[in-house]
Amino acid sequence: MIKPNRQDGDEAELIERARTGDTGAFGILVERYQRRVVGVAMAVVHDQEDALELAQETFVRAFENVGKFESRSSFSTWLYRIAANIAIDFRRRERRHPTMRGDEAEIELQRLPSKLGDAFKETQRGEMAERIRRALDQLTPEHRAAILLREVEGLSYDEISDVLQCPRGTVMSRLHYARNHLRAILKDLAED
Amino acid sequence: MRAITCVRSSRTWQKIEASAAINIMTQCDDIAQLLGAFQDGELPAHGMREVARHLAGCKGCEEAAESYSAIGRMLRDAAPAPDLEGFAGAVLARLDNLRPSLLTRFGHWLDVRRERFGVVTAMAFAAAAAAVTIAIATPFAHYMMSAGNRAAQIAARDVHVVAQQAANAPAALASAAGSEPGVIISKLETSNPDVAVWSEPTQGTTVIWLPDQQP
Repeated sequence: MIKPNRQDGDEAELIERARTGDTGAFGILVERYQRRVVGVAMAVVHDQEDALELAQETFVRAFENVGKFESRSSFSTWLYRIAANIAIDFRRRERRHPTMRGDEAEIELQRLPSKLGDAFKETQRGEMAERIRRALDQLTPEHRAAILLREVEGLSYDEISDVLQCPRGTVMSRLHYARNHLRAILKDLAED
Repeated sequence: MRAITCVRSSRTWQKIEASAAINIMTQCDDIAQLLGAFQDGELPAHGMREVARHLAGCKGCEEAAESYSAIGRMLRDAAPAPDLEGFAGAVLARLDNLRPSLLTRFGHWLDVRRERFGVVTAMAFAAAAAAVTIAIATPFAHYMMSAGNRAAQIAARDVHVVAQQAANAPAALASAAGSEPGVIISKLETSNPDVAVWSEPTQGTTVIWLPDQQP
């Protein structure tokens, strides 16, 4: 479980103001955590458009329930847990495999930030991203969520355990499985 | 390079994690289970030391650890950067459409007045608000109660009239049958005492009679 975390002074004040219905104060918290919350939703549903909608829903629900937030845990983890729950519910409801739809996949690849000017390298990079995306699609949603929360969002094992509501040992086993699976599929890339 | 394909249960992982703290492990298979957690810095201190010692002398495990790092880098590089422009604004627009509960709004209203006018004035505001609410609500409640009483009186009167008509129905039927030759009361088909049914066999018609409508 996550250790009790004292809120930063201004964060505690923002949370207090949000409790009284101050949307301006809550807006600052939204700005602060939006990227991470989208990342958590993205790790579960693996679809950017859905993740953005679910992240919005996360903040709305957090605002409605901020009165129930207990300062014993960190506000960020509380938010991520809401995001993960909403995303997991969404995935169950949709009952769809979180594979990226064709057109969206293209848009996704085009959105990748370009660090290489060379067109050839750009193409290579796009191909690599596509391979990684396909490899991730082969994982179960649980394994994918664990590996993305760790590697992309940088959450600790305890945070992942709290967010996905599973024991720390399960987090370890999921990460181990996901890493080995990706390593087997992307062997040539990993060894370059 | 050794293949790392073993999948273990959560309980086994916990045992492995615990054993990392107390046992000296030299087997690659055991170390392989811990490589990811080692790189994430999530092993206990003893485990970190043991894995580091093993990696220093095992090229295969060192390569496996390096490939784990490479996968992490690839995932980070390939992660799409979501377009968050306007995101916070969209959230706030949704929040503005939320209607807070009455209690929350009253609490907020009270807080604002307390800040602005002090506790005593805020209490006076609250008392005034309560008095206005009672002043509006009391006549309404009185009206609703008297309306309820009137409805009950009307219902009681109607029940009495219907019962009276039902009691007169057999006499009315007999009278109707006697005054018109050929009309035969076939049967009273319904359990409802307010309705009677009879037939006229020569013309093949059926009449449904209600007490408050003359046939």
